[in-house]
Amino acid sequence: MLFNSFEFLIFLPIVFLLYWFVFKGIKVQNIFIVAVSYIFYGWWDCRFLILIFITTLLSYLSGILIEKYRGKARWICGANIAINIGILCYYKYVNFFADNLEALINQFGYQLDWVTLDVILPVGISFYTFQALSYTIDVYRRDIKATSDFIAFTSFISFFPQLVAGPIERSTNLLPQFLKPRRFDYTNAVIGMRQILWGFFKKIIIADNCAQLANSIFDNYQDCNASLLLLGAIFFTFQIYGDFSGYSDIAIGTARLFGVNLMKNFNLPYFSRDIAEFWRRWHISLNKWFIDYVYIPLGGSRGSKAMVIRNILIVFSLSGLWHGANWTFVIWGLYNGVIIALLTLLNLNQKRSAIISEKSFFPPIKEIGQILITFILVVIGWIFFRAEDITQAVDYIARLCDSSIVSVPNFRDLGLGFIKLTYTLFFIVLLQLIDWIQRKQDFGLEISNVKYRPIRWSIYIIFLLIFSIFAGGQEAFIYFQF
Amino acid sequence: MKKFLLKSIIFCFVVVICFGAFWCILCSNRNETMRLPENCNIVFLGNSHVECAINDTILKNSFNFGRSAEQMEFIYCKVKLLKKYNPALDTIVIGYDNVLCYQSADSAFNPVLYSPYFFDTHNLSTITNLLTKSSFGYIEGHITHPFNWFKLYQFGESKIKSKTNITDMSNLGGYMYLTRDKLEEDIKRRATIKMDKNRSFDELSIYFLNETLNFCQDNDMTVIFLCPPQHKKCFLDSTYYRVYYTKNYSNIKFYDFKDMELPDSCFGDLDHLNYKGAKVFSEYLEKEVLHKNYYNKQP
Repeated sequence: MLFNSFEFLIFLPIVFLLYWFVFKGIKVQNIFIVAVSYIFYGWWDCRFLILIFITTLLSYLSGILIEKYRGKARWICGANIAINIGILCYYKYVNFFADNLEALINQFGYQLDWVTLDVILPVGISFYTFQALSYTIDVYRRDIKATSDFIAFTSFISFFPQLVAGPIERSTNLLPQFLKPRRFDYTNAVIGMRQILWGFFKKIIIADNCAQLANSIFDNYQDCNASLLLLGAIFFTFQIYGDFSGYSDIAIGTARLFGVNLMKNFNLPYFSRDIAEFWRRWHISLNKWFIDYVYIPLGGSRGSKAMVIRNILIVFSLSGLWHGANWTFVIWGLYNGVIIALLTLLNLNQKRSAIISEKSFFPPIKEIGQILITFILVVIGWIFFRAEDITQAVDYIARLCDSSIVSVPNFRDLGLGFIKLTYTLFFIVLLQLIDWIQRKQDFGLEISNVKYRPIRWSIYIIFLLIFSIFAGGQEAFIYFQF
Repeated sequence: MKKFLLKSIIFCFVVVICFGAFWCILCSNRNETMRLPENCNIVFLGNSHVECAINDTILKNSFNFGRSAEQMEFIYCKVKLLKKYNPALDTIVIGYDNVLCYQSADSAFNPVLYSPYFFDTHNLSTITNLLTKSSFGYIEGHITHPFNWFKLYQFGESKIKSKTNITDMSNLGGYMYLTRDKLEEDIKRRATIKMDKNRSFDELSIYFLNETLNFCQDNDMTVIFLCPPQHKKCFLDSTYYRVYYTKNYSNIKFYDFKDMELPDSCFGDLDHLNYKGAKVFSEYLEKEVLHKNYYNKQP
């Protein structure tokens, strides 16, 4: 079920009312959460519910076994990781590995008559698998006690707002919330509604409009001049931001309605002053996952510089591969890894403060320059992410390096409308402006500090009118495929 | 909790009032926005086949008001509004082809196309028929995409007044200057797609087509069916719509150019003419049809 669908429009109020008025008490509420989460997921394809259930059951049992047999905890934890990663690899990477193996063997003159498996990628498998793994590892590390409450644990794995596209929650944050009674909090619910509205703005206005333009440009990039290619890359940059951070906002806001607090997943990534900071602000839950469960166990930033760089490159390659079974994702991950490795080598990888330009409205000129450079580097990275293959990405970038980058974009040759192009750019600027003004708040539309209700309500209604006038086509969320 | 629910209900009420007021304002100058260019007495309506095939800068006294994936319901709405605000309009050319059966019943066509700009053109019996004959997806397209409710309006205003040859992605309709050159790709791509060749026209499309014909008859407007050229390798069914025409609409003039021979360079893909094809086809229509009063003859 998509957040931006009719089904969800009906589903959410019904579930909300039943949750608070009919199913009272922690046990019953947890059972209800599991039931509606499975309906939410099964709406897409109910066959894969069994897969979530297997992952849930295995992780639950492994937690209990680790606790019980501490001497064999390493083996139990390892077995659970291996099985879950195995399932993930089968559904996500089997054809990728098979195709590459075939290509490699063919290089040596042998012909492999390989059969490509017809495997459907279950929505959100990477998200819930990683969430389940985090629990097992946390129990193994004694960061959390294994729970014996299977229903609460199933709620933790399958909680519908964040089931298919995150944030990838940590057991230490989310699981305890299913083990204690939840109370309706008016203020939290109102903030949740605001965050949902803000998420829809990012998705419907920014991502969906940018998607139509970016798709047209990327699909016909050979017919575009360099300035239009640049616009295409920028549109995709904001498409993916609006799409994914919008999903996270809707998920976090929806969870608030049920008395559950999810972690922040995005923190103004396009205002980062270097790539390392960008990765502390972009898909925070995934990056924290990789830092805690891969980077630090590998040695982290301890040891020689060579070891640190090795660790960075491993983490970013895996992060790239996590996004999809395509070399473009791996190259994208490596591209980011190499830049961070260079920053580390040059001792430029600084720990920046969470709030940019905290004491003044405008950042210093130096920081503006850093933000611009980082943004350009990020945009280049997204070209690899968006391209069909590496050849297309390289060709796209090569065509960008042309004198026509200073000419008028030839958007009319692609049949793109000037009006759409203009208002999409306007909303991108508006998004960034609101993000900047509200940078000390949790999200752009957090206007609790506006005292007068008529003003707050007027703002909401203006947003709804903007949706009705400028909505792009109803597109699925990009991160579902991961 | 009660406070939250109460405020939510009040807020929804305020939103409905605001949207209603906004809609009234939008529709208040519809007589301006739906006014056709001067001396225009022929309007082409239909889906992307018509949208791309008729270059109305070449055809005199005509206006291409086709729109990609247009549903028959909106053709009906458009005809009603156009006649209301353009009493001189006397000829409606409707795209009638093998794609008609893929519309309305297919929810994929619907969500982005609904425009409440036309909604008040329906009377009670039409709405009843709409509800009883529609698929779930179609109803969903109507009532569940408030996000699209007004988006088409502001672009329609400029669109209908000028015959621009550059289309915008959000409009009420108009000639699409198609630069696409993907015939070979399309032939390869569609070879892999299995289409249901037994599909028939869906009930809702036929209902609105009949309503349109009745409306035109009541208002002394001539209706002509037109099937623009499609590539010879186009695999879409070429029998059903012809048989259906013979059985049900033989009193309507039908200019079926589906099999018209045109060079490959004229096609953007298998079933859409690109701007080159539109030029050739429109010049042909202008020269061989309009000037020779071809509309009153059999093809």
